[in-house]
Amino acid sequence: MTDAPKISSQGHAWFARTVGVLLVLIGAILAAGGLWLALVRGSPYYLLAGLGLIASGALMVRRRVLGAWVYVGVFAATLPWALWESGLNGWALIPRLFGPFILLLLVAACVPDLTRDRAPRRASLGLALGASALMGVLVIAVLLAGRPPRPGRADARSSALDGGGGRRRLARLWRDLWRPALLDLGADHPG
Amino acid sequence: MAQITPANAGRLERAWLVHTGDLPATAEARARYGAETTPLKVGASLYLCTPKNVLMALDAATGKTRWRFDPKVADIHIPYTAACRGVAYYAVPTAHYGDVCATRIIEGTLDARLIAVDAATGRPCPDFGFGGQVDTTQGIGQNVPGMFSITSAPTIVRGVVVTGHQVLDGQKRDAPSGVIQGYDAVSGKLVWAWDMARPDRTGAPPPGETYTRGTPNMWTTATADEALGLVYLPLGNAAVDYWSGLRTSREKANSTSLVALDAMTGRKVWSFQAVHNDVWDYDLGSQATLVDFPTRQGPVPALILPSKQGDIYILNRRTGAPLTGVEERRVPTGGVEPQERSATQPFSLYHTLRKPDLTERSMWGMSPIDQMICRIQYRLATYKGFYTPPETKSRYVEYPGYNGGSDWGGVAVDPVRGLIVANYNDMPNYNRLIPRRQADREGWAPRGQERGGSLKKSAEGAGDPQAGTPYAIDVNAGWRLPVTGLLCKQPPYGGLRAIDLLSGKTLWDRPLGTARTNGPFGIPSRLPMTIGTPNNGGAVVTAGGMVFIAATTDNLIRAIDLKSGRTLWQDVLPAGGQATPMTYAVDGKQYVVIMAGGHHFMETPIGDALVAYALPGPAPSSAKGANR
Repeated sequence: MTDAPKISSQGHAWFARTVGVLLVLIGAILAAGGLWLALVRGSPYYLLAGLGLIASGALMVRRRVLGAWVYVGVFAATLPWALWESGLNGWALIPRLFGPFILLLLVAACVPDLTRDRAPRRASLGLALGASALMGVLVIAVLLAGRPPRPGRADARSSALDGGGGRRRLARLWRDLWRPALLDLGADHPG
Repeated sequence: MAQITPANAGRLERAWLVHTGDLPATAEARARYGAETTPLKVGASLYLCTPKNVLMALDAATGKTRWRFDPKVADIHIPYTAACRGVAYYAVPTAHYGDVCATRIIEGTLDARLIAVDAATGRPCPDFGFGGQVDTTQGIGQNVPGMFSITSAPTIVRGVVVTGHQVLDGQKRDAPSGVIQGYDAVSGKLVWAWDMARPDRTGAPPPGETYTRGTPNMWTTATADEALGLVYLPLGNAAVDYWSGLRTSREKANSTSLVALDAMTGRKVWSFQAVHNDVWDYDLGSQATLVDFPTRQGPVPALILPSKQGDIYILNRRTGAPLTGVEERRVPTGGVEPQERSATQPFSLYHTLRKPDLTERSMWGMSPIDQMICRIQYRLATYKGFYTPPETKSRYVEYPGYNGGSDWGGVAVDPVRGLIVANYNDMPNYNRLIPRRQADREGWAPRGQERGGSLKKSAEGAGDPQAGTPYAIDVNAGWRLPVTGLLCKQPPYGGLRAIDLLSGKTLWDRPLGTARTNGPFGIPSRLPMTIGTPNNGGAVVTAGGMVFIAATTDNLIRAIDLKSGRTLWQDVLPAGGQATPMTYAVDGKQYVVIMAGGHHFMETPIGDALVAYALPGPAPSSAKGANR
């Protein structure tokens, strides 16, 4: 992914600046909506992520490689947040991680545009590969977690009619974290 | 039906496919089509009706048409859906073989006629009503096309044809009556009429009067109990669904209830209420299923009653008393009619298909942006959990939504293994009561009074006037975002579950339906991954240990292992499979048949194909006669 389109010279860094503008735009939407959400007592994630994206994008527009590292920081915080919110529920992870991951690859591809130093350029390549590998591992984990439960094993979650006592809800959350019956890929392969 | 088993289901192939020829002629009709029919197999024939009530008899082995009868229903009579869920068969006990109409097929039509034709020839029965027809709108009073329809098969008990009507929801308080009528299966004469507000009467109203207007109706299928002489009616709601202040006490006593009538007299024997003073459109959509339920005192004639809110009840058929636990629990109050709301609602301790209440984390999207918008919507809405009362100051969340839980597909039961197989929906609705003045500005008017065409294209409740009450209702079915069309709640949106009949415990539970035809902006994602889609239409279980079900929005029919819930085989249908499949054997060969007619509400392609599946080759001779 370090093979950034060679449409720009390092002097102008058009590619990186375009990505920077994109980050600022997305960040502005997230920050504005996230502020609204936080004001109605919702999750603060979107506000914080939006501010992070604005900072990172603005720095990249100014051709500062620091902007790329700020985005890496946003992504590094997003990953555990997404897992904390959704566990290994594959479909629930898609909006939380897919877009941010694509942006991460774009940002990593911008690094050669932003600096001549070898170390950060290598780091960005390693980052792109490492993040891709991590996502691959996550996909496998999601698929494993989503395998249909063995027949005969009653799913307590579904038969529970409880209004949800604190401890039981925690237990349910814990169970959902590790065994969401969502992506049962296997179940729909005929034969 | 034990020929198709988990060992050979993978070899299923299409045996035949026939086109009924009933396709919508206009775009308006297309937006109202949904052939929800399940054929009936009697002798060597299949009998079915098309969306607009064309009756057909087919050779059960080849699909070849034996006869066809078109009662000529005009598009204007289509209520919410051009659905004809099925037909009834009646053999006249006193008739001799070969007599005209000795055996007959009876259906109800969208324009509220009962039609009886000779099962052998398809010719109208001259002795039934006037030339084979009965007009069930007698005594209804003011009515406009599409307000008062029959969409389900009539139920015949001890020679009495029992029918309810789909009275179009959400239009006006002064809607046609929900009266239940019983007609003689031979002569078509009215035997009784049950007008819940007039228990003193058992017949037609005297001249100049009508059946009581606006009473709860039965749009779905009743269940016959030939042994006890009872008919079990899953009733809906009084008009209108989301405002209860004008309902009478008799309406409140019977709405969203299963009512048992004496099929000979039309007198009420018992009733069981699933929702008190329902303002969530949780009308009972599922047919009740008869079982002998084991108790300490031995097997009791019982019925299984699924519901849209997901709770499944087991009731004693003689008394209506629950055989498994039902508990009144406190539910949220408030809303626009706080004094009307019941402080408690019944909860089944036996089983529920309902999932835990939504949280902000349940919100979804394809990116953080649309997910964030859904989270804002969640926070701005009034949501106090299950049974949140309707609101007008803000949107409110109704979860589960009016599509269930369990809807008209009901549940399938394996009485030998002692299993219930239930498909269900898992989606919220995002609603708001709209003050009358604003609704008037929007031009929301009841059926028959609109400017421009009278066939609305939107889902039920998306701008329903509820005329005669202070508020109209705006339902965002499934709680979807504009532009992307995605649902705000994360998947799954539907599932399939096997339940132990005796204990009510879940044996397996899985999302049902793949993402292949679903995606953002209405673009099919082509992903073969299971996501769990909305579904309408039921399952069938067989002695061979199989579950056959389509119902989902991915246009697939599946053969599922009853033991494990795993899909063993699937096929792409030529259109949406929003109908319950059925299975039978002819000369020792087992067939699985499904109507692939599509459904406007499920947004699946509309079609007219009836498809039959079987194992390849002729019937194994050893299997001949071995099938039940």
